Amino acid sequence: MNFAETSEQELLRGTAREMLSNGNSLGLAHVRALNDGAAHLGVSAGLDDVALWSQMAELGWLGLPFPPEYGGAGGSFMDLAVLLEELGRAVAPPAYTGTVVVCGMTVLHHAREELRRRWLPSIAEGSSRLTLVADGGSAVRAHPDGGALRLDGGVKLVDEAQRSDAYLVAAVDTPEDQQPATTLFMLERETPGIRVSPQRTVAGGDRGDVELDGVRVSAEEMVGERFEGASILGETLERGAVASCLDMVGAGGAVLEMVTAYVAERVQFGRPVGSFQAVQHHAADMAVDMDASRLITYEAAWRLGEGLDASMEVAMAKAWTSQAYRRVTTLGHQLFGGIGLMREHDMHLYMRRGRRDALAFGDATGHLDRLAGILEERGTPWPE
Amino acid sequence: MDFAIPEEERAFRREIRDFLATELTEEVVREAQSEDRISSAGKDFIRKLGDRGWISLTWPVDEGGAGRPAMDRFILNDELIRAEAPGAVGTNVGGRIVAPVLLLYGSEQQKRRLLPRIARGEIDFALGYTEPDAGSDLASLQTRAVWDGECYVVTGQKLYSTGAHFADYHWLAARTDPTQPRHGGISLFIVDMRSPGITVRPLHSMMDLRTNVVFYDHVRVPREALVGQENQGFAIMSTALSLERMFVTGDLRRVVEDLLDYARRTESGGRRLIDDVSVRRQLAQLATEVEIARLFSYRVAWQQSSGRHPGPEATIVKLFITELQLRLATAAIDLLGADGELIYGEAEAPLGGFFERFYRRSIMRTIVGGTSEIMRNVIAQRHLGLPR
Repeated sequence: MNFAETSEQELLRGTAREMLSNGNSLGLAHVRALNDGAAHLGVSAGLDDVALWSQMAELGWLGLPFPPEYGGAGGSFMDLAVLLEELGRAVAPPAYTGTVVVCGMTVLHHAREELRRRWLPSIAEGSSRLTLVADGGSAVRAHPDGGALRLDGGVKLVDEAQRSDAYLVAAVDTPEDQQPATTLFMLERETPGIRVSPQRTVAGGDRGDVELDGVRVSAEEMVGERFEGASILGETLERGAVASCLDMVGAGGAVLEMVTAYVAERVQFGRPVGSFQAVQHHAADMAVDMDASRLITYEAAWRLGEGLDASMEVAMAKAWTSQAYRRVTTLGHQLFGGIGLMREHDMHLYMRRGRRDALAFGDATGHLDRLAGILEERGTPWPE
Repeated sequence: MDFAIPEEERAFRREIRDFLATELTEEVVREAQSEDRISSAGKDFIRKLGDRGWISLTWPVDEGGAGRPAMDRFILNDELIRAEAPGAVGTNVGGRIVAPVLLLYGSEQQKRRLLPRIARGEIDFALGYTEPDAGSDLASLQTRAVWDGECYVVTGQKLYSTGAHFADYHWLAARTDPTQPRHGGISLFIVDMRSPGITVRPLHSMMDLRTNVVFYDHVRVPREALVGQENQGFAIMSTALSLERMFVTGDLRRVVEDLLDYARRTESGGRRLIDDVSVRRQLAQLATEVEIARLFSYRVAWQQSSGRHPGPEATIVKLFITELQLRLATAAIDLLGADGELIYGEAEAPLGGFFERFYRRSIMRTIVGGTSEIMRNVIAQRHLGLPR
């Protein structure tokens, strides 16, 4: 094992942290304005992240994991992991994960060449945003309709629901006289029969329910072969789960730093509150929680990047990190006291982000249940 | 980052397992886990570790070692503890704690006289740190070593000196200069346990592990017994503690596997335990935490192997692993239901009462070698930089 980052990853982390730091248009202050708008003023006010998005395109971030022939930077999954952690640290708007990691990489690995050419360069240059419309695959159904297929159903609380240019839809598609299977489609937003109802959520952003009513689709729009979407979707969801973990790892690291700096300065009873053991022990527990989250998450990311079976590690990472990040934000609030409750303070942004990330791509309980199934089958998490 | 286990590490693990399959008899395990831990079988086993060159595995070649990286010692300890073999904890204090310090601070004479015998598994040591009034606050120790012109004369008492009843030497911390403040006036000695004036009395613990009080009554200790410089003892002890901080998870991984196995084949109320959703989630949670512990422990071994000095990582691993062990043990006895009350060795006890004794022994781990509270203080103050 080697726990050190490559020099390229260190460089990327440094650049990303600088670009996302306060005082920059990519920075937290900008992000806070977006998040505040979304959380309190209605969804539409949270949408204006165009400047941020084009800056990410200029930096090459939007094509980071794509090969150069599709306008990308040819980065590894571990490179991507570093960037995702830094985006989480700045509670950056979450469109990156959906567009690049979840949909973009699925197109890259499983779509036909025409679809790759259609979407990947466009994502990389910042012209297209994509999002996943799936909730395990049961809510949208495909029905034969003449020579084509028709999709009906809906998925609740889709990310970037209104402003995405295309939806990666997972539909239950049942072959004749056989068990239900899954087929994936990439549908443009303007496709007739797609309707979006915006929803306000704790973490803000552009969330909404996506409904499909008699949407006619063809083989051209399929991602992967017909009836073979389940394993592709499984892989996609694993990447999404790890991206959510990395978001929490970055965000939790920021919370720990903010809190540590604050309690070292804040004086009550004539001394910094950070000198009290009760406070120190909370801070130590936060540090251990985030350190653990970071290791288990990077192990899962490494396995995905290597193309190894990561089902167990992803479940472990998502189950643990979702719980740990909640503990860390709860203690963060406790240690900030009254000031952390104020909207002008950043702490609530991190708490809100946790409400979203903990549920995204499966919550802790769901992943524990999945993990239990794997353990029951294998008998041990550590086969030789 | 790279989480792959290289083939040479896998091969070394297989080599150890093959060795254990032939040399680790039931008798050795029984004795290693027994109250007194005095046995010829156990001593023979340690000597066989020595014959393989495994006690001196990581020492420099010109000091008689194999010059292997710390990762090899980590793998060896991990396999030994998984198999409940002697040599990893409690025994082999000489190989684990004394030798690394002697390599750094020992005199040529001490190294020449002691290292070869440690390497062969012929001699062992007991730690003499804790006192009735010096536990977590070790710097307040009272045992005196007074230079009388010929010898140090040692008077005082040492508590929880595990293994002192079979050790050949005591690794003793005593105050040599009472005029210096706390940390300043402490020195380390290697004291022959047969010295006149030493009395060892047993202390029997609730873990079924014997430990001892060691009384010093005007014990004459020669100058050559001093390790490093006079009054340098506290710094040496800190080094020894950081060298000792190699935590492994072989035992915890085995318990998770045993629990999974138990839950799969045991029925309660007409269904298997593993079919109960709360049992499933708890096992999944514990497996996750043990996997995290495995990564934490590997990280420290990697740091030690690659010339990095473990800082907060070594503190975090101690805190996390010991608290996890207690959670794991608690879950284990709860899973057994009413049978969880049956004591170790009782015929009807599931798995011979292993989990019952594991629970009792887990209670000590968040205390021994630095309490969880001290670990949290260290993380907060040294790692996070919070004010004292």
